[in-house]
Amino acid sequence: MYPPGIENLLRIYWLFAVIMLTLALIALLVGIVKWRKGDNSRTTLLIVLYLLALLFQGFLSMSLAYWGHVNGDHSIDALSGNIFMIVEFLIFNILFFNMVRSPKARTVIKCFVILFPIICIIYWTRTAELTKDFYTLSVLEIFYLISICLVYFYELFSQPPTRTLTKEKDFWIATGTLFYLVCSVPSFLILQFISAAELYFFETIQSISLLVSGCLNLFFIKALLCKTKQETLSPL
Amino acid sequence: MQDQTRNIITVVIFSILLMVILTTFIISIYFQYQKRQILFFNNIDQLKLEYEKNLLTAQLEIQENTLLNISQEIHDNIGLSLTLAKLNLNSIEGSDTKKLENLLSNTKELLTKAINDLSDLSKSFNAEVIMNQGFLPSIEHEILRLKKLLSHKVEYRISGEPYFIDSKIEILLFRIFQESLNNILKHAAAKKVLISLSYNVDEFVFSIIDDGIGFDVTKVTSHKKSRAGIKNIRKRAELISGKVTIESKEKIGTTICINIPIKPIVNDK
Repeated sequence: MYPPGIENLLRIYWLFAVIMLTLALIALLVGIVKWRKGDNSRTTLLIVLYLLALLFQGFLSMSLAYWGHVNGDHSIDALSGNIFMIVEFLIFNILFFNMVRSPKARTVIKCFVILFPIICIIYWTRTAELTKDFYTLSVLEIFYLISICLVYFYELFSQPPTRTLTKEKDFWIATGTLFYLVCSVPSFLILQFISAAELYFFETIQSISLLVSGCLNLFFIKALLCKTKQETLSPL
Repeated sequence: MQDQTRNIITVVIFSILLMVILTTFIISIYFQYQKRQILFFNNIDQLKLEYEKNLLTAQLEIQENTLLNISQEIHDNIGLSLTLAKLNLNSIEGSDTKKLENLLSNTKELLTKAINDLSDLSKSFNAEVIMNQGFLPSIEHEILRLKKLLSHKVEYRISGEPYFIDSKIEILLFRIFQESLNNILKHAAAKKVLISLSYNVDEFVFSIIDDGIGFDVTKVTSHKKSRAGIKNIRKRAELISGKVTIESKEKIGTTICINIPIKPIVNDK
């Protein structure tokens, strides 16, 4: 039995889950169509890969959440969450590596691509929480990616304003990622600090992440619909 | 249980607050960027206007110089040929056929020379001719003209693969070249002239070297009534974002070097 009002919140959780998965599917379709039309840029490929990983994790998590009401086992959910976190981290890093121009920021990204998986492995081997918790490392990942997003916006404003932002793939990706990460912070923080809680608590808190993840998919759809920019060198 | 419900409400409120703040932040970033963009393009428009204005001034100066050169050319070469031809025709008297034939042949030669000089003059001062026949052929034509006027040695070198430079830039470069040649003809008393064009990946280098009497560059450029030729060369080079280096030593010669940067172009697919 749930406390009064919680059933409504759970309905919202399932609604947001369906919205997020539908948007991810639409974005994936747009990505595939663009790919088949010849937009074989690295950005498109990375977005498609991210969406595939998200859909896999989403469907798995939803089914586990549904069956979790019966046996209460979270180990597979946590394991898939941890793997998804690493995949997400790598994809966003490669995306931002292409988007930022500063050599220092690029070096930091390169270092973190190597460092973060090492930190994860050390954390999981020391705490044995690969199948229990994926919030601690997620918080670290979120704060790092937010700073990279801010570097992109800083660079955007330090360069001559010659771009048309609404037609920029990079702008939509950075905006969507920033929105997704910043809005996920409160839910991840609270899940990090409150360890002993009922299942309905996790699910209602996670509905916020599902909502912002859906928003990120919308931004990805817009980014995929933008034209790919190509640089060529030629004399006057 | 109540604590957990309170936590849920707190997180929801915080998340909604963050969403609102972030949306405002993103929208403000967008509008701020648009504002900067408008200012930036306004500045570019202003610079373009200024550039066009300077270009017009330079064109007027070029026109003035061209007219001066045409009048000088007509007076010194064509005028002289025609006067001699007229004198020849005036002296046609008597019945000495051989003398008459000589006079007529001489007059014919003088008239042909005058016609050729006029044709050369028209070609070298007409921008359309330069644009039609191309930058390099125009330079070569001018060198031929110089060779005709001077008994000195004129060397011409091209390095690198020639590429197309904007026609406006080419015309200004050609005018700079003409101005430099005029200076050599008028003041340098050179015996040897070297003209070199280097088509590099990042810049185009145009140099004119002579072994004439030379001059004191600082003295000439700092003087209020400095030579209009040097001023014009610098002004025209500035208009095409070029860098002019003038090196001269008395009794050794003068080197004029113009560097034009070649910029990469960004294409949108």
